[in-house]
Amino acid sequence: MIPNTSVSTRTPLEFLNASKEAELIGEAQSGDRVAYLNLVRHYQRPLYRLAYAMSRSEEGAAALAQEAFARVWKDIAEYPSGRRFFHWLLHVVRNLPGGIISTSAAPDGDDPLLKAIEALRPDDRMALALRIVERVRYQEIAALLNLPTGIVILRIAQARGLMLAGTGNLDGGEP
Amino acid sequence: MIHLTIQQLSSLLDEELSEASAALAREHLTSCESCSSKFARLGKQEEALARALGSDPEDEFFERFTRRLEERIQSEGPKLIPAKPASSEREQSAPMAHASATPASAAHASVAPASAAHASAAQTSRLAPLAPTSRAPGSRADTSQEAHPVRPVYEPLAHRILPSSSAQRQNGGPFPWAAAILIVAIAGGIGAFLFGTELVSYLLGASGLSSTQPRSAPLTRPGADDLHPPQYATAELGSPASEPPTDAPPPSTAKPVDRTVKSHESSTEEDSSADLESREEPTSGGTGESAATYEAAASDWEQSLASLHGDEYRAARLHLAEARYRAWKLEPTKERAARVVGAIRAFLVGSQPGIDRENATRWLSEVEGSGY
Repeated sequence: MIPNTSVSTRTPLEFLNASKEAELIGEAQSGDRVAYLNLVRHYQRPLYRLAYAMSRSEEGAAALAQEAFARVWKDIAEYPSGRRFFHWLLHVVRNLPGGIISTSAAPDGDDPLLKAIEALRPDDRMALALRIVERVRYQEIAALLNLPTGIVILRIAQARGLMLAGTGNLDGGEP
Repeated sequence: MIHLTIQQLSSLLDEELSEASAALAREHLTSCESCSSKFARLGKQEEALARALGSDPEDEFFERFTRRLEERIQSEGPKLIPAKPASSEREQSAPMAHASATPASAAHASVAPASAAHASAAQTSRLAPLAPTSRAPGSRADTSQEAHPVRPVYEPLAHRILPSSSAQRQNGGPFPWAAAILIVAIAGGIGAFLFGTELVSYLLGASGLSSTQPRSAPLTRPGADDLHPPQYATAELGSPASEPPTDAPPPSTAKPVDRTVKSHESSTEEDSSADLESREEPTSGGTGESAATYEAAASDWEQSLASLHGDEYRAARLHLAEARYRAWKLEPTKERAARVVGAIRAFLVGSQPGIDRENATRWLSEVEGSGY
């Protein structure tokens, strides 16, 4: 019998309407703080959740998200035309010193699953977090991480396999 | 029998296989116990991962998040591009927002003195390195912010710290005291370099400026391990500048000591000497230091974050991380280790290279390498 695999009831990442987003970005580039805060309100939750999934520290996740939004605002004039806001946000987060990519999960004692998460490469953990926490489709993850879709599929699968092995549920990462 | 690969199982789990491939995979699962079992374990792991990686705070958390960001971006305006004019409708709905985002605007000018006070507060706070200097959410400053949504929450404090500078500057006052203090501090630094620290320390102490130490001094000099958490003496609770956040945890575990957190206005030579004396006893015995007092200090710093931004915010982040680290150092537990790591990482986000960052990185390595 095939097991039921539904895992999350959270609202997944939803992008703003593209034209509305472009309009808000344009206004923010004119110095309109209200427009920018509208963008923040829409994307703060997924960004925080993603940062939390990477660090599993509420404090660290909030600080990271704050820093990312503040940086994007500061350099809003350099916002690349036509790029989705969340894509750019993630790009900024990934390049922050001490940011997501250099973040490893907090120490977890004896929980083998959490240890297995910690053992993942940051990029793989991010791909997995985008999938599990935000339920983003592979193609969108590939766009967000600027990777080919095939690589994303491979990394997510490998990460799952490694964690099964790490938690003693599988003999190895590959069948 | 050919089994399904982990990629196929993973893609099936994510419903990312094509219809035909998914049908074949499901058919295989019905007849292969090994793959079916593995798929079931993947599903269970997925549920556990969703719980482990998920954090979905309430709306209030994100409201505070947005407010804090708004305060921050008010003081850190963007580099603007020549832009199309904003619609008149939006200007009517948020006139202050436009004004404060425009560097030359009057609103921006009103923020500047507060920023100066932030820097001053951050510097003087080094006298009591683990004592927050600003108000936490829920304090009187917050009330004033609600009345004037775009006014920085720190403005009332700015007037307290620099009563003659920020106020007079806004009114075209006669003398820039903040600039004068800065010049004296720089002269002191040069003097220290040229003539040694003792003479300059004496002169600075005599002039009441001994509190203007470099931001990183307590972390860089030998003996940095002997930082003390704040001790809120009963007599000081009514003092506006030394008043702990109203919702701060009571420092019940703190042993009463002579050294207390002093107000910015009342920083004196005695403060410095008392502070330095108290630092000469790094051990937990007999000095009032304990993991609990550091935890209390950390909580205070944590609460102060909501009303800080810029350099002062980053300084508070460092103090918070250090207090957490000291608490863990005195009484290491897994929970404390997790809190230290979180606090240090929060500080490291966006922090500039330098001694503070190096110290924080060192603490992080120590905690992570400790097995806790």
